[in-house]
Parts: sequence; structure tokens; C-alpha cells
Amino acid sequence: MQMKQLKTGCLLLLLLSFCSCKKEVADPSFTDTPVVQGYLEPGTTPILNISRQVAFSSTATYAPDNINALNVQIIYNDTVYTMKPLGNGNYVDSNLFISKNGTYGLRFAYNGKTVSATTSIPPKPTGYSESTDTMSIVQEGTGATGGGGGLGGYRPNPFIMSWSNPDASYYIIVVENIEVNPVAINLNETAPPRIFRNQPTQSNQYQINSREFHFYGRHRMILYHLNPDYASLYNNDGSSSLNLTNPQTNLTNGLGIFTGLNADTLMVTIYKPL
Amino acid sequence: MIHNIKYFRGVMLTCMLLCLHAGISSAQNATLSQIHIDEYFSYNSLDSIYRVFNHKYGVKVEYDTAFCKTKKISYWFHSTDAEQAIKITLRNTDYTYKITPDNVVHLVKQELTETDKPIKDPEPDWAQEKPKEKALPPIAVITNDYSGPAQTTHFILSGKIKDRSNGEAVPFCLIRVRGTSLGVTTNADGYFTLLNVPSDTSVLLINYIGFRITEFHLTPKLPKEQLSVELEPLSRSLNEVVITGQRESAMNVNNTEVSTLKMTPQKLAQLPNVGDKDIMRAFQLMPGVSSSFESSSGLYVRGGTPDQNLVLYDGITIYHVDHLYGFFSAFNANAIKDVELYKGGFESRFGGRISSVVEMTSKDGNQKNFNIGGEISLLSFNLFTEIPIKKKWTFIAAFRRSFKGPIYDEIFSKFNSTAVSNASNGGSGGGGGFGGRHGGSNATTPASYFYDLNSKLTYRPSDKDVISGSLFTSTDNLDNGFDLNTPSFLAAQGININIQNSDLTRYGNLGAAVKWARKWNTKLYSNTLISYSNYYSDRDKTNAGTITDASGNTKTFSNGTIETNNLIDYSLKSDYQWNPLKGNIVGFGAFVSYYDIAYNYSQNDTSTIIDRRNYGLLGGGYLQDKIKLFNDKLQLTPGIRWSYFNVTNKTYNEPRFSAIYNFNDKWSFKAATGSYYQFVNRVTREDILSGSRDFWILSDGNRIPVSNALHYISGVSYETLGYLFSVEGYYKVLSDLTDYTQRFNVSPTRINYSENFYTGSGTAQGVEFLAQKKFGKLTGWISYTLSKTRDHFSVYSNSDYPSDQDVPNEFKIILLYKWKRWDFSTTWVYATGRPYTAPSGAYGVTLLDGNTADFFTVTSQNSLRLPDYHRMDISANYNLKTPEGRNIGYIGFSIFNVYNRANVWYKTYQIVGSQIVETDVDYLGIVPNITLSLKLR
Repeated sequence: MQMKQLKTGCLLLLLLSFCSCKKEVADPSFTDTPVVQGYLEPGTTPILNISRQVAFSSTATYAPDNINALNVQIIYNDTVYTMKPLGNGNYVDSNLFISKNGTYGLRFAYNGKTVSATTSIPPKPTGYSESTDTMSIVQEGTGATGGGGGLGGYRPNPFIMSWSNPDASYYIIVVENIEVNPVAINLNETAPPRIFRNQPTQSNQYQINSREFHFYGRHRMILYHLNPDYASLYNNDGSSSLNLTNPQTNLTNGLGIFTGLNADTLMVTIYKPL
Repeated sequence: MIHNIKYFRGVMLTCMLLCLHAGISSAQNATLSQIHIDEYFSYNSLDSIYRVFNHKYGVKVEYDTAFCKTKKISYWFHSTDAEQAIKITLRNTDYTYKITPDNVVHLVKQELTETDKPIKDPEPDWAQEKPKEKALPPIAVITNDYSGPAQTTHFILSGKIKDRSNGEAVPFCLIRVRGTSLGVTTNADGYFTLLNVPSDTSVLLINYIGFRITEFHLTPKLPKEQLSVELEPLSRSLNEVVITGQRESAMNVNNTEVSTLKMTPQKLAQLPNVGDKDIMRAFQLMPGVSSSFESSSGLYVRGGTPDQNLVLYDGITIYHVDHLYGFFSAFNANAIKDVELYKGGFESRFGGRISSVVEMTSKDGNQKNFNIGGEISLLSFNLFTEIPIKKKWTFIAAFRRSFKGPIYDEIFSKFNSTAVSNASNGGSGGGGGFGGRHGGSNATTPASYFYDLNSKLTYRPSDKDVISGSLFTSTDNLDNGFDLNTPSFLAAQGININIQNSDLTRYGNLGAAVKWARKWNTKLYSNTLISYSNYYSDRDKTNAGTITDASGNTKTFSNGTIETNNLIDYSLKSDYQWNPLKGNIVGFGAFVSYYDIAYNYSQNDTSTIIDRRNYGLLGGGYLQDKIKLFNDKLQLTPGIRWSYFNVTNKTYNEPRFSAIYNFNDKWSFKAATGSYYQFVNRVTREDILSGSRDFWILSDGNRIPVSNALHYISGVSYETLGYLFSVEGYYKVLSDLTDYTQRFNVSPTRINYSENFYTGSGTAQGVEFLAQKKFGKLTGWISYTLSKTRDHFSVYSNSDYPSDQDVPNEFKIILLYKWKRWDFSTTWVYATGRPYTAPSGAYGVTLLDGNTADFFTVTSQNSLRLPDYHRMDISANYNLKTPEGRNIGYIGFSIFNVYNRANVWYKTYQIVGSQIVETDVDYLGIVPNITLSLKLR
């Protein structure tokens, strides 16, 4: 008999629990905020790209602003440079060349708000050097190495790239093969990348092993001196509901990056042993 | 929400009343043989018994009031049909009965009904049920062979309660003097003191889960100090609930705590499990403890997080309770004697946490006989031994280790495939260094495993002293790395290559303590403990290796991320319990802890992102008094805890108060409030590429403040011997909480991750309902929790938002059924889906190397809900017995998530074309398990 009571109680509680579920109302709000991408390097003419976000909701509404007809301005030393649209959200001003150690502002209106940002050009890297400028790597995927895909044989000394960094600034090395028709190191690799990079580091050196190279020939070892806002992009890629928060940006009323860079370059050559 | 809570309180009470009413109404229409009575009566008059029969079961009895008020009996009706019950009440009397067509029982004198001879007394129902198993009756009576008048009255009685089978002290067991409201609970070492015992012929009623209720008859010949009483363990012939609220005992007068749950680990095997019986998982089946966090065996109690829950193992603070990504807890149930969970409003003797307390007492070891046993399941094997060494020493050790069986592999691969999935979803933004060409011949994968070891050496130099040394260690070695060795064709050329690609997570605890417990006299008891506790967590995600060329030149290399967290806690504490006079139990003590906590997170061997090492000294004391008033109907426990923390150079006062009013032997009202501080915090470092990591840090009074909580609790319970109905509400105010995120840079010129700690606040409120059936073939409970937990971190939102652990509705049914040698059980839990933050939009940024990193903008923090969580587990255990009926183990079959519900753990997002694609990552599906358990005794 008691079990009947319990069962009845169970069912009632079950029903009540379902009835009491007050569904949290989803926040469907999507604010059409423009995405800016602008890297300012000394001696170059800046090219800005402005784009829209991809909305999660299929019913989201976008601002009426024409992404290719915005009044985009860069401010330097109180002088306003109005960028000319090139289409696809790209803007340029051929009269503006980025000065070293300069501070630049960005401003334009979008969706009824003023989008703005400020950035400074960091000093050029100093003391940039490499332990050696050549490296010999055995080609893989040939009969000599047993079919490739493996370790590829003997490993030479890595490149040790060094620079001066007394204030623990952020740096990143980008390695780019500059041959017109480069020869792949591993013949079995399909579409290997011609360019690669490490993560931003506050160190004053980085070691690049032979395994990171995919092609023979000349490579540019570009050392960028970064602002922290660029470095933070590398810790800002959450894609799980466990840790999604709004990404960091240095723009007001905007998203993306508007930052100054300064680079130095060394060359290395990868060759096949005779 | 508050409106909902009020509404629910009313509905629940109505629901309970309806249930009772429904039972009574239907009983009146049934024949007496169809009505089954589950009641225990201890020296009750027939008059009161028949009133219970009438009011509760609808059995109407017409009787001679004068006779029935004087005739008293003690009996346990255990699913006894009503007619049989009437016969039993009339044993050894001149009365028999008649049943009229309207189902009314009329008692009549025998001489008046010659045709209705009294029926021979039936065998007790327990004997009928279990004749072959020689089951023991539920009540053990120890008369001590004395007949005569009392010689001493109003005296102090002190002693110790032990387990007859092995001599183990029985902690926290209830002792009551029959016929009075006088009662007390034994302490952790089994000692008790009863003040003002009426006479030396009084009868003690002793009750502890897993043992027969014992009636112990005092005699003038027995010692009044150091009285030793041994309880008889229940054989598995009795159906008994596994977990129970402390106040579920018939001896409500001994209910001295609010919001306390009690567990006997020896009965855990009856519950379904995912691989091994688990103490923490079992608590998650009770109201107020969330059960929908499969990836955490740490307890989410009343809106609190696992790090806000103080876990004590023989007095040692344990900082991490997870095995295998949190799917199992690190405590071996075979080594633990008693566990109590204080869900809130806990006493002044506990401190350092703001939510709850789990207090575990390990076994001392068998004092009488050598014992050995073990278990093997699809997850792990488990061995324990108990060794008595002469008369004064005992030793116990229990060891458990996983092996890469199907369950381990499933969990390990699920977690690691998830990590891989995340890495790919992360796009190119996060990147993990240079990509490198793929290789991989001659790769070997090392094994992953976990193990734990519990041991305890106990020495009893005198009847008043117990000295014990405890050791607890647990380790998880989760290795997803691989080695690359020299291919044969290169080895032939004299080239030697050895590369270790590490993805190793290794964490664990090491705890050790020496405890000295002394019973100074009948009124003073002390417990002094010196302990060491170490929690370490190392994460190594690196590539390292050596290459030796044909000329013998060796080169080494290494890069990746390394994370270490090392917490050391040295503690000394001394607790005293003093019974100065009747109705007062004064508790006081002092404590001091020294913390050394280091956390380091570095990338590429060279870039240190976080590097903290903090030292702290926490010391203080507490004082509380448990006061019983109005013939013990009212119990008040005011107390205060005082702490000094040298890091902040401040003192912290934590006043606390609890009250219990026992309206009668069934209804109890309770309330508690208190202030709680926490000086050591666990925060989470988000890392989507390699999984978020928890680490412990010490409050610095600045960026990481000392957390605080205020608890307000009230409740009411209605309890009979067989049933418990309880409603309890709570409201908690939390302040100075700490969260860590790398998403927001506080410095405009530099990323300083060590500064990315944020302070917030929160509230938690809720109502818990519990209905429990404690005896009979079918036992179990149903519970429902309505709650609301909110956080407020301004870095995330300007307004309150649901905290990550907010689960508004939780409903649980736990049923256990005994049939012959089989124990069957099933559990079903339902919980509202947890909140999560979804993207509102996404965009890509082209990085300097030409790759694109994807970024998501979000909706309001935690504004959406995952699908509701529900799961059913079932198990069946076949008990193995010797021909004499002694238990020697069991074979258990268990199925976790029996209908293979795909409960969502979290969601991942990817930008595909011009759309954001959402993917569910689910918790475990159906997982069967088999366990074989054997023991010598």
C-alpha cells in the first residue's frame, strides 16, 4: 500500500517538475558590429579590410550600411586621411605611409555608432641574428628513405633565431618560402604550406627545426615585433560552450584588429644534400 | 522563482498529504490480508498500536480500552498483513478476534468464543522470509542477566561502541535511554558520554546504519566508565536503505545536525555504478547535490562548486577528488567506515570552505581476525587487507588500480577525441607552434592509469587513548602521447632517433596524518591531529627528443606547453569536546595551517605566462555550545570561529547558529545560519586547445580576495521508523568569488595573464524535498530540488546571470529491491539542462602567416540551456554466502545509462562557409559493468 503512495507521489512530483521548468529565454540579440582587419607596418601603405559578422541566427538583421561605401578615416598627428574603397570591404589611401614609432587612429561610422581604435608602431627588432643560414635536408618519399612519411633520415642542427628583447615584448617569426617553383622536401605531402609561424613569444630566441620546413630553397625569416593586442588573438579562439566569451579587440564598437607591427627579415636556404 | 518555491512548498505538502490520504482510503476498501503493515513498536500499548493501525492503514479495531492501555509489546511488523498483525498483538493474552463483514476487527475474550481458538503464534516474519539464511531479527537484546532494583541513579555513563565482528569503533552512532529523551551520538572514535542516566537498570537503545538495533540493559554490575558495547552487523537478510538522512533514525532526539547526510560505504555496492562503487557519486543521488555533472565526481552542493566543498579524510584536507577526468572519485570505499556530508550551515569546528563538508572516517582495521578481500570489475581491481597485530595494534590497507579495460578506454578515448576535435575546431588561430611534416613510423603509446592507496595503522596504548597514522595517496597518469623510435632502415645507417611527443596529465594527492584521540575523563575528550596534504597537477604537452647521427653527435630539442600546480598544506589542529553538565556539549579547538602553493604555466619552455608561488599561514580557534532545552525538545548550537590569515593580515569572525525543535517524536523543525570564509581557491584556466585546467591558488586579499558566504537554512521533517519526509530550504549569499579568464586584457600595453583574475558575487537558493522508505523489501527514496543559482561578474555581464552549475529542477528516484540473494536497484535522475553561452555571430581574422583565425561573439552570459539531462541506471547483485550464511562477496551486474540517453556535455561551433555549425558533445552512453567481489570475512 505504501508503495502505491510512493508511486503516486513520484508521478506527481515528476509532472510538477516538468511543469515547473521555466525555460530560460534565449537571447537572440545579434548586433551587427563591423569586423576590422588592419596591420600597419612602417614604410607601407595601409590596407584596411572591413567585413560583417556571420550571424548564428538565420533571422538576424544587418545594418543598412554599405560595407563598401563607408567613410573610413585614419588619423595621424591630427591629420585625417580618408580611405578610398577598393571593393570587398578593402580601403586604402596611397598618400599615407606609416611612420616608425607613430601613433595612428581609426574612425568610421557603422550601424549608428562610431567605430574607433588607436595603435602605435612598435620599434623595429634589434639584434636579429641566426645561428646559420643554410640547412641540408634529405628529401623524403624517394627510394633512399624508404617511402617517405617517416622521419626522413638524418636531422641537421636547427636554426636558432635570436634578437634583443630586454622588455619582454611580444615577437613572432613567420617563415616563408620565396622560390617561384619550390621543390617539396617530402614528395608524398599534398599541398604543403609555403608559410608557417610560431606562436607569439616574449623570449629573445626561437628554435626552428628541420621538420618544420616543407620546401627547398630560400626562405624569409620575418621577425615581427608585436603589440599585445595582436598576441592576444592567439589565446582567443574558444569555440566551445564551456568557455565562449566575447573575444578581445582593441576597437571600440567594432571587432577584429587594428594594430601596428615592425619587422626585420633574415634569409635562410634549405638545400638537398649532394 | 521565489514564487515558484513558495508554490512548490505548498504543492509538495499537499502532495504528501494526498499520498497518505490515498493510502488510507484505499486501505479501507481492502481486506485485512491485503493490507501490509510496516511499523516498529517499542514497548507500546495495544491501544496506541491499534490507533496507528487505524489512522495509518485503515484497520479498525474495536477493543477493551482498559486492557489495551495496559498491555504493552515490542514488535517489528515487517510487511505483515493486517490480520496476522492482529494475531501477533494478541499473543500471550486471553483475547482473540473476530472480523465482521465491514472489515472491523473485534477483540473478544477467549472463553466467550469457544470456536475461535487463538491461532498458534506465527513465526516472526523475518524468520518466515529468510529461514534458510538464518537471518537475524532486527532487534538485538542484551539483558546482561540481572534482576533486581537499581542501585545508582542519575549518574554519568561513558563508554565505547564497537562492531562485534571486527572490533572497529562505530562512529556517530545514536544512543538513547529508553523511555527518556536522553540521547547522545558517539564521536569519530566511537566514544560517548551520557549525563544524568536515570538509573543503572535503564535500557540503552543503540542504532547505527548497517547494524541491528540494540537494546542494551544496564545493570549495577556493569562499569559506568569505559563501558564497551558491541553491535551486531546486519547480515544482508535485512532490507535497508543505503544512504539516509541522519535524522531518519527513530531516535530523533539525537538529531544534532542540520542538512546532514550519512552514508555507509559497505552498502554502496547495492547501487548501480559506472565501473566501481563510488562514495561521491552516491551522494549525488541525494537532494541538493547535483547529479548531472558526469565529468566531475566533486560535489556541486546547493549551488556551490566542488572546490567550495571541504573534503576531509581522517582529518586530512583533500584538494582533488577526481579520477579519470572526474568520472570516478579517488576514494576507495573498502577503506572507509563512515562518511557524512554537511550540505550547509555546518558547525564551527569546520572551516575554510564556503559551501559544504564531506567528512570521511577510515576503518581502523579488524581487531579480531585477519581479513583480506578484493574486487575486480571492467574498470579496476581492488585489494584490501586488515591485520590485527597483537591486542593493541591494527593495520588496514586498500589498493586500487585501473586497467585499460573497456570502460577505461571508452572514457579515455571520449575525452581525448574531444580534445582532438577541439583542436581542429580551434582553427589556425591558436596554433600550437609549427605544424611540421607528418611522420610516425615505429610509434608507441604509453599506458594511462590511475591508482589509489589507503592505509592506516592504529595503536591503542590504553583504554583512553587511540593513536593512528593514516596515509592516502592517489595518482592519475593520463597519457595521450607517443614515442617515435628509429626506423630500422635508419638504424642500419647508424642513426638513432628518439622523440617523445608528450601529452601527459598527471595529478594526484598525497595525504598523511597522525592523530591522537584521548578520553581524559567522562566529560572531556580530545582529538589532536598533525597532517600533511599535497595536491599536484602536471600537464606536459611538449615535443622533446634526441637525435644521434652516424658520427655519434647527439642533439636535443624541446618545445610545447608545461603547466604545474603544487599545493602543500601542513596543518595542526586540536579539537575538544567537553560535557560540563546535562544538556550542554561544549566544543572548542585550535588550528593552524601553513600553505605553500605554486602554479606555473609556460609555453615553449621559455615564455612563462603565469608564475605564482604563495605562502600563507592560517590560524585560529572556535568555540560552540550545543544546548538542549525543554526536555531536549529544543537544541540550540551557537558558535563562533575565529581565523587570522597572515597574507591579508586580517582576522575573520564566523558566527554560526543552528536550532532544532523536536515537536514530537515525528515532527522536527530546524534552522541554521552562519558565516563562512575560504582562503584557498580553485580557479579554471580556459584552454580550448588542450582542455581547461583547474588550479589552486592562495587568496592574496587583492586580486584574489578571501571568499565569503552567508547561509540561511530552514526545514521540517516528518519521520517514522519506516518513512521520512523532509523539506528544507536554503538561501546563500556569496561574495568575493574569483574567476580567471584570459579573454580580457587589463593592461593596455601588455598582456599580463597573472592579472586576469576577476572578482564577483553570487546567490544560491532552493528547496529540497525528500520522501524515503527505509524498511521492507523495497526501499529507496524520491527527491526533488528546486533551485536558482546566480553569479555576478561584471567582466562578463552587468547583471546577474545563471551560474555554470545552475540546475533549477532535479528529480531523482532510487529504488532498491531485495529478492532472496539478489539485490536489485535502479536510479533515475532528471535535471534541467545546464546554462551555456552560445555565439550570436562569428568572424575571421587573417593572421600574419596568411591563415585565418575564427572568433565568436556571444549572447548574454549563460543565457541558453542545454537539453534536459536524464539517465537511468540499473544493477543486480547476487550475494555469495558460505553454507553458514555469512557474506563473502557478490557478483554485480550494472548498466549505466541503460536507455543510452545522449546527454549533452557541451557544444562546439565552427564557421563553415557563411554559417556557424553547432555540434553536440555528449556524455557517456550505455556502459555495462560486471563486478566480482570476494572477502574472507
